[in-house]
Amino acid sequence: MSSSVPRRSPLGAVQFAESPSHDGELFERPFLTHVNLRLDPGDTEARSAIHRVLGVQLPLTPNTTTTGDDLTAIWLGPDEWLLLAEHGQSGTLIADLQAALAGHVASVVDISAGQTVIRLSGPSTLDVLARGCALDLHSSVFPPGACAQTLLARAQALLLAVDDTPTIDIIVRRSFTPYVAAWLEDSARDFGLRIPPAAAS
Amino acid sequence: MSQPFRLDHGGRVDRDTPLQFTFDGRPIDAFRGDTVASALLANGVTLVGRSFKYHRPRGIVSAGAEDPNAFVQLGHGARTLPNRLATVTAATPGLKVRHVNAWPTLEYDVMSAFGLVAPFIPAGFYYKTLMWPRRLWPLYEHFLRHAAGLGHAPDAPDPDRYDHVHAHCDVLVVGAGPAGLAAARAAARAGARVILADEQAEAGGSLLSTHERVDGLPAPRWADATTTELAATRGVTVLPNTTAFGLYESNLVLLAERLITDQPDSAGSENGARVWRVLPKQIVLATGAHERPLLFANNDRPGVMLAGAISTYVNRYAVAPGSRAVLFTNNDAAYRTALDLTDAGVPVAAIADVRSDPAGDLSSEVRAQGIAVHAGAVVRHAQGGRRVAAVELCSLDGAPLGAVECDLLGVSGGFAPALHLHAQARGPSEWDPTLAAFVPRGANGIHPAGAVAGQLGLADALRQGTQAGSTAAAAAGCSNGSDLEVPRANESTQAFIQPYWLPPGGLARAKPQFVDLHEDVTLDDLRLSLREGFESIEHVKRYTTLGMGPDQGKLANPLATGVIAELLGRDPASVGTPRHRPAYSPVSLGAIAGRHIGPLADPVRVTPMQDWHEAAGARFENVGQWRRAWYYPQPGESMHEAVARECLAVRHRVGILDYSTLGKIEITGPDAGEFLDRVYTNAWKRLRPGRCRYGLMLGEDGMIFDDGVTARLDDQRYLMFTSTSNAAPVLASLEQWLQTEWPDLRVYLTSVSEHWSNIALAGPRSRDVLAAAGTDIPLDRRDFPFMTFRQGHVAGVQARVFRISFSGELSYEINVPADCARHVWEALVDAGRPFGITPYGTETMHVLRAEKGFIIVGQETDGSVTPDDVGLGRLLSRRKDFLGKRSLSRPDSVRPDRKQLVGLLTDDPNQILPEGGHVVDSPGPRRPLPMRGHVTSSYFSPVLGRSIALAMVTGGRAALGERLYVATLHDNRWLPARSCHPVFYDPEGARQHV
Amino acid sequence: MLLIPCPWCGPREDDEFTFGGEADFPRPAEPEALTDEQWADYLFMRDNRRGRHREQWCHTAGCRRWFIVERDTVTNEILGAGTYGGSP
Repeated sequence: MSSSVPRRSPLGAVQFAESPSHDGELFERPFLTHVNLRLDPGDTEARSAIHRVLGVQLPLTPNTTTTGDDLTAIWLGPDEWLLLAEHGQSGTLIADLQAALAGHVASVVDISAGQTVIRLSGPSTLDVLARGCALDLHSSVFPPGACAQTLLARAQALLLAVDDTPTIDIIVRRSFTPYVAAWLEDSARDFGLRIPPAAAS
Repeated sequence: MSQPFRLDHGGRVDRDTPLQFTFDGRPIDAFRGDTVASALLANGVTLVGRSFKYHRPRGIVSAGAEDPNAFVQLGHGARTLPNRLATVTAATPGLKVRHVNAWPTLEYDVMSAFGLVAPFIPAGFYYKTLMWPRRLWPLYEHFLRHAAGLGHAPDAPDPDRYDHVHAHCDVLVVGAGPAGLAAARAAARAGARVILADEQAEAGGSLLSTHERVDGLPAPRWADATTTELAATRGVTVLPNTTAFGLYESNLVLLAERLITDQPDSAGSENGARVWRVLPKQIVLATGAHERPLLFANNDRPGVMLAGAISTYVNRYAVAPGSRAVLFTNNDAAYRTALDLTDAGVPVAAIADVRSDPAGDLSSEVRAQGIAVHAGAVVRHAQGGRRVAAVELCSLDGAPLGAVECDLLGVSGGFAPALHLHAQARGPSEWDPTLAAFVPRGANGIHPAGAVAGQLGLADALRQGTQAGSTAAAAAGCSNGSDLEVPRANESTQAFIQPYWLPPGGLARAKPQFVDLHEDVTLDDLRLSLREGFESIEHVKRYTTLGMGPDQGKLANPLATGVIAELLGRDPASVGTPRHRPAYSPVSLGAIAGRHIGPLADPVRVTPMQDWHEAAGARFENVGQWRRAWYYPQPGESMHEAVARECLAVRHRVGILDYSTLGKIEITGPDAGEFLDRVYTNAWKRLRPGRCRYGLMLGEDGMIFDDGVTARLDDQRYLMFTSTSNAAPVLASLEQWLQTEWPDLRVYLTSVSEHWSNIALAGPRSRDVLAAAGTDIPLDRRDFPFMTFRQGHVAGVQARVFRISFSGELSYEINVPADCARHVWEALVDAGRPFGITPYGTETMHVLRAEKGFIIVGQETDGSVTPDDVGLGRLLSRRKDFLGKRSLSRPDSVRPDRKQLVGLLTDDPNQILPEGGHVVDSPGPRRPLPMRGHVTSSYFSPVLGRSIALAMVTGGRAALGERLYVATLHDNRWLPARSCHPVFYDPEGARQHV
Repeated sequence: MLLIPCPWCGPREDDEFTFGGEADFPRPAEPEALTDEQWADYLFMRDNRRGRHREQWCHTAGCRRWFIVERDTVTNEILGAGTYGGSP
């Protein structure tokens, strides 16, 4: 893809050469690489091959993640993972994975443009989410490294516990993003969260 | 008026902070800490409302949420709150309080004439009488609505904040009285996450109304100290002003928190509400008990109050609710009230006690005060109009014992545990003869404690609460070995009760004895119900409206159980109570809606091109949750004109459509072809990579479920397009088959609907536009023929381009990553300008496909249509099985008279048939007319210069050209038409192949 | 509200799930070999038991797995859950 093509994130961030800066307690983390991976967890050879490419083991415990240098492997189902890479180069990651999985029954699909990450960070994070998420996100049950697919208000969302701040990454499908962002802003209003202009459009 | 009934000292009101509010416009002086009810009583206001049916004068009965009379309207305009209880509403400066059920004024209510004819309108009167003549019902209804007022709704959008919040804890304690506070303290000390909710503004419950001491402190001070300790404990949430109103399966508890502002206005201090959805591991139910009223004639007169409520007003609010009292009881509790009144300087003229030998410490104390105790006596009649003036006593067998003057009558018929939440969740309870009440038994993680569990004494409640809190915490997995520390209080003997349900006979019928004050249900109504055979308490409820008011019959139902049992000569345990249902007390609709209103009511899904469509002036239509561009009117253009322009642009030049909403599923694996063979009616394994095919998916019942094009991306990968609205159901269904029936198939499904945006170019010049936008894909018809796809770049962006067509024209559907879709869209529009490119919306898309006779699933089909019905029988493979195949040979699927897809051409080419219109052979006089079918799609076709329609008509295919008529929907006309082949334009399909 | 125990994700509120009808009605191996009546039995007839009831649920908003729940249709008590293969 030519680098002159502008990309637009679901929340309106426009990327030419570099990503917009992240400053605030509620903001989008646009243009990350999202890859959906399916394979039989019993295929240990395939998992080893993946490990060699990613540098992390695929998490086999439900609703957990494993994190490497710039990549997080997220459990979505017993034979399904989301690979979330900090860089925006889905092409190389997919090519490497496909090469490593040659001869195995597996599926590697780029879904980077189909969803985005909204980060919520700060002391009122859990209070904001409790307005629309039925899960218990208390650190005793949802510690950093945990993940959960659930409903946030009236949209499906994947939640990742990032750190003890607490920080939660919310992964939402692209077309639902304006709704979820509006809902989060409305919730955040009661707590005076800082929202950078890019995410507020 | 300056609070003539305010006591000189005592109480928890803040005498240094006086305030004023109004009741029906009249100023009422109060102190901070008062409720509206306590302030009204302090000012000698005893008449607060008129009853629901007979408009009898009514006064304050209780000091809590169980009151059947004290419903008032707060504020006015947008922020008004109807049906609030004066007994639980804080008195705030400037608050406007009005009565709800009298006209023109509370004192002179014309409807009270009903009171004079009450004997003539017993239960069931309206149903029996106002049924006839039927045409007069709207008049009756108008009259009844006016008469049965229950406040009025706000007249503008409510500006207050309403919200929902989910919460989790180890132990939820409902009620912050002695048992609840003790339980919360014990659970918190064990390290549990605790939520303590209480409906009042202050925690403490009965502790705030008693002179007893706990741990050496006056009970209210102990309550304050314990609440402070709890609020400061990590992991403990104390929620005042919060009513637990529903307990559901899985022990989900809903709490309604009234959001209190410190800047109250004329609507009071509530500025919204928050509903808490609490999912606790364990529940301590410390909801207390409601004192039961007693039956006697005119037992609804203002001045008749529950004995315990009198104690609360005296001790907690420093208000004397009267100047001379009589008490009527069947247990010890009223004796405590007698002492409280005496202490406050209010003379107690007499106590009528049902029991023949009221022994015990309290009765000795009362007698020592010189109060006359009439043992074995009852009140049979309250004299007075708008206020009790005197009571007539009699013996249990009805012998008159004279009258006693008083303006206050305290009654106590024992205590009924407030087991509502427990019963909502169908928790077990049993009849306790010593209490003459149903008492809940703990089950399923619910631990009743205190008065709700029948422990009426303070020391017992504290002990049981501590135990329950500790047990609940342990059951939730929290135990840190800390010793149980039970708060100390004086031991008291449990009051013994002599059940008393029915008054002695021989009373004049004209003097009603109310079982349910809110609903004006009398003892005679219950008798009538039983006489007419409605003996089950559920039938009694429905026949008489017993317990159907906004007070949910909190006082009435426990009384009715005993009354019905005695009338039927049965055990109260077998009579039971009416089923308890949420909500325990009224919850505003705003609280139930929360923030799911306006733009947040439901997700609105948009494509990456949404801003562009808006800037281009598009009108939108909702397709499920999607917002799709419908058509793009130019200034001054009607919808008809805009759609005609868009249609002709596609037919003659080129159009561009945002088709991103289509569902897209990647199907990967060695068995992907086999999987498609099973779910689609046609064959897939031999489709070559790079080619596309139209597929039809059926339910197992043989009916069309979805359709769309699937392309083979490479040897082991396919991409399936689904219809927009079926994207999620199709994926769910495919996953179900794979996971539950065909786990042996090595296939993975991944939704890529949101990753790939889909831009359709359609029209004879679309190849030129694509070339002009810049692509490395060879576009020559031999290199890139119809029903194939190519990968490459379009306008510098990685793309999958499909040569498929939903318009019948040369067409390319260009899939690009959604991040770049806006760029590609704009590049195509720019490149297409010299070719007259025209953006078109869903309406034009529908017209174009109808001209070609292409079906839309859900428009031509309705779940009862087979492939053959719509002329797609050629897509049914004979050589393999597929979902639904067996159903296609069921007798019903091969009926000769099934509806079939045909075209309809009206005699008048400008006549557009109504979609959904019934199709008949002839509009003859016979009724009902035999129906031949219905119109499924109908448009004006600009390229044909006339209207076209698709219809499902029985036996239609064999009779093409027949004369048919279509009914108009609204004006009863019949539109003549002839049936035809459903492809109106380019029937040989040449245009899409160019 | 019913808490449904997803074998993979644990108990979640029922609005995360899709109900898939009674379990244990496998698709016949050879539909064409069945009489109309036998096919109609497979298609339309369910036991709808009072009491213990095995039924299919999908954790739609979660892991998207179909699984089996055993539920008492009188008390709504959930007696157990099982997968269609694999174990968490």
